[in-house]
Amino acid sequence: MGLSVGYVIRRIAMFLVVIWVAATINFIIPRLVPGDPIQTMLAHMAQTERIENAAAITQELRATYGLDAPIQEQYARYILNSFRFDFGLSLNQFPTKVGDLVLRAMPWTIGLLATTTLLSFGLGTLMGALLVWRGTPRWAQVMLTPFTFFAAVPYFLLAVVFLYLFAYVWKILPTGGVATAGAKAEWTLAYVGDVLQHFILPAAAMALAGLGNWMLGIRGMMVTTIGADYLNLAYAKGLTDRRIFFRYALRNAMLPQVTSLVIALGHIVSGAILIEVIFTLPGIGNLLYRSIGFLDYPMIQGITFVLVVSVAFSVLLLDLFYPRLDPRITYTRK
Amino acid sequence: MNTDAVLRINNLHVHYQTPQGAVKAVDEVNLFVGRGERFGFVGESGCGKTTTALAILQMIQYPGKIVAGEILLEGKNLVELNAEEMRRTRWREVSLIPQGAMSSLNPVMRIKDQIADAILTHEGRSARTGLNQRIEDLLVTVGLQRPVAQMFPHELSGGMKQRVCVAMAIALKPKLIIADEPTSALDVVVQRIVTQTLIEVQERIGASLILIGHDMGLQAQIVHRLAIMYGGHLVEMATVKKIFQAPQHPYTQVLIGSVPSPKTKKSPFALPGLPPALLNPPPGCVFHPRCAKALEMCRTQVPPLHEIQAAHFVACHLYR
Amino acid sequence: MPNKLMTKIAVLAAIAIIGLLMAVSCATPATPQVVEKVVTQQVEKVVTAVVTKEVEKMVQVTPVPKVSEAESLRRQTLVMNHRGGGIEMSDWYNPFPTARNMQGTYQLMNEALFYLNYETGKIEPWLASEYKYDANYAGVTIKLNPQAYWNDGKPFTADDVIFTINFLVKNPSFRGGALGVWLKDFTKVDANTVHFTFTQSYPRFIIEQIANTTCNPLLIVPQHIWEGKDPKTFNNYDPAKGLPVWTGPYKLSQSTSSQIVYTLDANWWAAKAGIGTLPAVKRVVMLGVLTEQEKAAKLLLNEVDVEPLIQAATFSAISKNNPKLTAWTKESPFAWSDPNPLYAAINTLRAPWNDAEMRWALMYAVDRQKLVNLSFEGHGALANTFYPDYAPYEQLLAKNKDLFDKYPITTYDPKKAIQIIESKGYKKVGDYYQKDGKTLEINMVTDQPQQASYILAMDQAFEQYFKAVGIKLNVRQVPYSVKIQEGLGDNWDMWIDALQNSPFDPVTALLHFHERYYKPLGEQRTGSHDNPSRWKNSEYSALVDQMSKLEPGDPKAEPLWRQAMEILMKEMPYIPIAQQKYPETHNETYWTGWPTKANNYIQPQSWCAPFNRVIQKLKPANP
Ligand SMILES: Nc1ncnc2c1ncn2[C@@H]1O[C@H](COP(=O)(O)OP(=O)(O)O)[C@@H](O)[C@H]1O
Ligand SMILES: [Mg+2]
Repeated sequence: MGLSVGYVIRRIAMFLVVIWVAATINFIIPRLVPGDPIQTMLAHMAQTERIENAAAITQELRATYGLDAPIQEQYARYILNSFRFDFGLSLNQFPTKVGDLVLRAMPWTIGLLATTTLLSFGLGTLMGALLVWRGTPRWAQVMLTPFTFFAAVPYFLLAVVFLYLFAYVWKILPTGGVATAGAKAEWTLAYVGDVLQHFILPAAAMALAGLGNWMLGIRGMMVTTIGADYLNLAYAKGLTDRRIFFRYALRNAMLPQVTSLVIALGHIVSGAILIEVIFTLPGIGNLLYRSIGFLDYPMIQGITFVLVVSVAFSVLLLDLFYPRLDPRITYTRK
Repeated sequence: MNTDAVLRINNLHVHYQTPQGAVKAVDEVNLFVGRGERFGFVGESGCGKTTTALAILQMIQYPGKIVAGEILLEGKNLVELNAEEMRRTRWREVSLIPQGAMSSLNPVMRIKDQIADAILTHEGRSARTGLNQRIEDLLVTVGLQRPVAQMFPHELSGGMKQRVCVAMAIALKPKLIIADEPTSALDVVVQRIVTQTLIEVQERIGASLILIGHDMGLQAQIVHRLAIMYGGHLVEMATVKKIFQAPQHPYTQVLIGSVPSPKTKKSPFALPGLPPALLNPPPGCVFHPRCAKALEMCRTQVPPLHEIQAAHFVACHLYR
Repeated sequence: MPNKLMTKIAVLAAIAIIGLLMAVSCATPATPQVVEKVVTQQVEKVVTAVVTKEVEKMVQVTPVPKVSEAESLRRQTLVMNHRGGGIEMSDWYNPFPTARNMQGTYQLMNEALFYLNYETGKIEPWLASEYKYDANYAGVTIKLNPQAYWNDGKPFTADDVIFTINFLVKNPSFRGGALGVWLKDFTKVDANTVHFTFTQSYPRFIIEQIANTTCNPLLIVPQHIWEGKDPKTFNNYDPAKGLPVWTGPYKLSQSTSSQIVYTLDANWWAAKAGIGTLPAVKRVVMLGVLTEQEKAAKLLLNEVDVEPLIQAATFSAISKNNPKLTAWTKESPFAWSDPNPLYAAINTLRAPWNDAEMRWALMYAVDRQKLVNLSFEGHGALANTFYPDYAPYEQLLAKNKDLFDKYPITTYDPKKAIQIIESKGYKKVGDYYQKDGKTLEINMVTDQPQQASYILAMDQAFEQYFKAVGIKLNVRQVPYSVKIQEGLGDNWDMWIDALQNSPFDPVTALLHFHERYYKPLGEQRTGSHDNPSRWKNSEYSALVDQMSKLEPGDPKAEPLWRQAMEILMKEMPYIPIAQQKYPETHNETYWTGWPTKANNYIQPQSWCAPFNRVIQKLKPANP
């Protein structure tokens, strides 16, 4: 398969190095900017009440955050904790653990965005390929073309237009949130259905907006592939149109799309911010958005770290599995 | 001579409809190919050879179109078949060894899968049993090793890829194999070996072969009969022997004269002027602007293909 | 096969769509924040305009006689919006180690010993039945209501109070931990009585530390639940096991990051004891809603019954279309005044603003009435001091009107401003004054326009007015918590915030300028409201000290107040800007009985403890 053990080990080591660098940057940055978490924390407390005993509180908090230890020790602990996805306590939601909050927000983001990304990738790729496929009926091509326009529409604009139409004007779908007010969060069909109903609009907005891009991407590749010699031979072989489309044309045209897909999946979290704010979904994007507003450094670091790891991990997966998709890519070099 | 024609092309016209006008890529072509016969098709690049081959397979792509003519494969007119009937005919009855063998294999599929694809599509599921064995045997037939079946195209050399194409082309034992300059991208040594293989397997399955090329010398050693094409027109067709001994058409004569040999150190195609633009072909005989023996009527009248002797066809006013 | 016609159609359509998009977003910059803001504003307008029409239609349709199950459940439910964005820490119900606002807990589950009613100015007993100060305010005796019990049935006693105070004193960083500074001793007198001894005479102990003027009253926790728990990590959340245990009318039934659901406790002690009314609201749902347009939409669609923080302009638009939406007043600015008016602190340690005359130049330079009108789109109210426009203050200020003649705080007089500036040796070069080659500049820190929509207009107005008198304004717009953090530091000349105030006690605001809270340049302050101006005046501080020794409302305080106020007015370490008016919106579709100016049984602060009072008064609109 062109994938040597040495390569895999090297690649995984690279991945770990990326994570280590990310954790180190996370460690350094807040120590470069003026002020520390304790000051932020005190400012936070000072919003609601007069602090009569700042010195004592500062000392207590420094211990809580481990800021009283020597810097090497802080660093070692930070790196170790980063690998355990432990980023300490949120400032804004003190004393909840950042890791817990991220974990709680993750399923919403993954559930909504990973699904919509895959959906729009699948649909968009298929539709974009059919757009230029000569076997596609004319009417279908005419029907498909307008979807490429969505590439030019930002998803949040689609989102608000959908909200306006479906939630406000026609009132057939909810305005936001993940469940009807007062619905009990439990694993019942009714609740899951309720949640899914709340996901329709954001999912549709994201999927449709993504669709256009995937369509345009595959269309370009498909045009090149359609002219390829192996496609002509496939025709000459008398293969069915369907088989040529999937196994010969799409299969080859799709290769660059897969790279984009993996990158897109890695960037889900950062892409989620606006959609989660517009629809008040309690996902990672929303969490990040609010953490930035509150200068919740441990939280921002935690989320950034998750972001870096997810992108790095996606790329790692891509590197390990791409040779399966494209046998011409080999990693046997020393 | 050979009345048992596998393929008969009558009055074929293929045009490419471009914004500037129709490109007459194939104009008034008539020919036949006998059973088991190796038929050569020679002409300068751009004269319409590939277009003719694709017309047989009904694979002329937009903006091309067969505007007139019949293509009879064992009496069945391919032009009139619907898409599905034609699809079933391809490969099963007429297979193709493509021009660009280097890039004609699907880069992401194993060799065996690409061959299996052709077999399974036409023979159905029942062909699954012993399929791997059958594919490997095919590869062995064309001089490849069995493990090649498991390989991907990029792991093969150009010659090996061309052999794979040959193996694929004979997989269904078609009646006709069209080889479109099968070796033009290979070096001379490999060219000979591959061509030899091609002849062997063609003879073994008893198929007819249309060998397209522009190398008269190579053709002379392989085919039984030759057709010379110029500017979309068939200008001369006869056995190899006749063509080489007594070429009739002035263009054929130039071609023969240009075959490099140790004695005559002539450069190939010592012909003044340019090949004709098929978009706006010269009136009359397409060759007349470059013809040393052109008559007045050559400028106005298109010479029809005329049987000047038994089985020797020439399209030239000189022999009316 | 590409088709020429299709290509043409595609190109035309693409051009049309792109044109449309450009028209819609008119040169929207690509940064998400800005885009979001612009989109929000536009959508707000569009949605408000169009949705409201739809709702109007819907409202006019006569209601269906038969009520669905969902509708009947909705009629027993109160839906409230969480103030200030999303719900956080949904599984954390320990109020102590966090600075987070525990909305929902105060109003519905937890109860205070005393409530401070801003409208009546009275301290209303609740879990406690009375208090009595010792001589010279050296201590206080608090009697607890013997009928009170926790919602798990255990009695509420002095032991719980002593237990809670004890652990607050031990953990100074806890919310309420500052209490320890004031307490020399605290003891249980009997099962329902506790006694506190102060470190110094403290006549405001009950108001400031127990009833509290903010949203964070002292929270007493049940000893039988909390004993032996680590108060730093105990999350006090397990609805299945009945946690959290408190005394209030509602129990927690579900808490997620998108909504919190509370259910009525039919056994609520106050109803049994007859001092409260069992609410008609069977269920309360608190939603985390982030954007202004979603708030507006939810109110228009009657999905929400109370929204605490919305702009007056938005309320004005939506209430026209949904007549069931009401607020404190029928006329602009609709809102009850928050007790904390908007003001700009001037850093009195940085030249040239360390000169009181120069600070007065700033006062003269700005037409603050106009600035307020612009900022709040016509729904603002000018503030001439740091006091809210509540009756006790209005009366006090009216009595001392002559002070305002002497110190024309609200007078707009740019010529005078220029005169002062030029008298200090400034020369105009181009647009701005200069001295010793340095341009006359003022550096201002404010919230970001995303935080509140008035910021943009306000900052622009300041800039224009200052420019008109040759002062260059540099604005730094930062997120709220950054602003608070900056405020504690000194890297600014002008810092805009709301000054924390008492509803009736003038001393609270004066105390913020006390020299006790003075910090020199380079030192961090520790209370956001305490002396951000870094102003130091011993005479003033002595007067405030004297006042602090008197109980609120003592007539002896008034002459002292006048003297202190005069010093402050002469020195002007701050610029008063506006009363804070955010119409808390009430939806009468499902519930009536909301507090209004005409029916002002308590202040409308649905995000704070006094909402406990409101929910007892709510009546179903469709019984
Ligand atoms: N897709 C096309 N569009 C327009 N003209 C074409 C197209 N394909 C081939 N032709 C023209 O048809 C003529 C014959 O081409 P071809 O059959 O490929 O020649 P050969 O195989 O003999 O080199 C050439 O003049 C070429 O320019
Ligand atoms: Mg060719």
